[in-house]
Amino acid sequence: MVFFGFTYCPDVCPTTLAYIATVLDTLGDTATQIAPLFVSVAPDRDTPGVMSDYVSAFHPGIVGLTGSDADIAAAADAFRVYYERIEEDSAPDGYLMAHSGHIYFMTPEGRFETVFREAGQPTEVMAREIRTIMKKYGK
Amino acid sequence: MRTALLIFAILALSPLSAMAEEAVRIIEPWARASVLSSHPVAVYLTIESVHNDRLISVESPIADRVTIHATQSNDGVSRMMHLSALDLPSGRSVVLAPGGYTSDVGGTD
Repeated sequence: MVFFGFTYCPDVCPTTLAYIATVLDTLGDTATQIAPLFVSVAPDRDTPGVMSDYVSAFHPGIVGLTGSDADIAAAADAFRVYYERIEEDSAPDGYLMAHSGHIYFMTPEGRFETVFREAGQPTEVMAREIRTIMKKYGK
Repeated sequence: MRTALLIFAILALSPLSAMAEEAVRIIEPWARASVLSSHPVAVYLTIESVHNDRLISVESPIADRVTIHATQSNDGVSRMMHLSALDLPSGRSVVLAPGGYTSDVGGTD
């Protein structure tokens, strides 16, 4: 499970992370076979330490990833994720990030399986769809 | 996780509004527990005003700044826009909720 965001995001990212945490809790033991990855689109502030502290507050299973600007651009490009820095005086450090909010569900081989949106379905429906997909792969 | 939060809404017509009983009501305010005190947290609530009014500022004793944003999503891309004021039409609920209007609290150290 792969999604992009940034830790200074007050609304969409925490909402999505809390949503994913509920889906993982609903999946119970099945969730241990899923690697939920939260990739930063603001790597200058989102250091590995900040990412780790941030994602672990939502769910112990979520992994935060960050890297160089080039690494992030390559990862976002691979997932066709759009992100853009927006200058905003009222925000911490004077900027916000606009970004895609899709939750990608990939096979262990790294192939695209499906995509979810936080607002697209209740948590139990996403959990049910994930169970169906994993059964298809014998998991 | 939802926590009650003390915030003050400052209204354009506040001296007038203050005279009427409950001219403006703040309903069900909540926020997610803050993860890192250096990071902004969204506060969600519903505002109902008896009169046509306008929210021009929000303050909190525990935060350096509180700003109002609207999140807009186009083609799956979410963008936050800063709002300098929020209209409160008479008798209508203005809802600040995830993915819509938000009041964002920063500098809670």
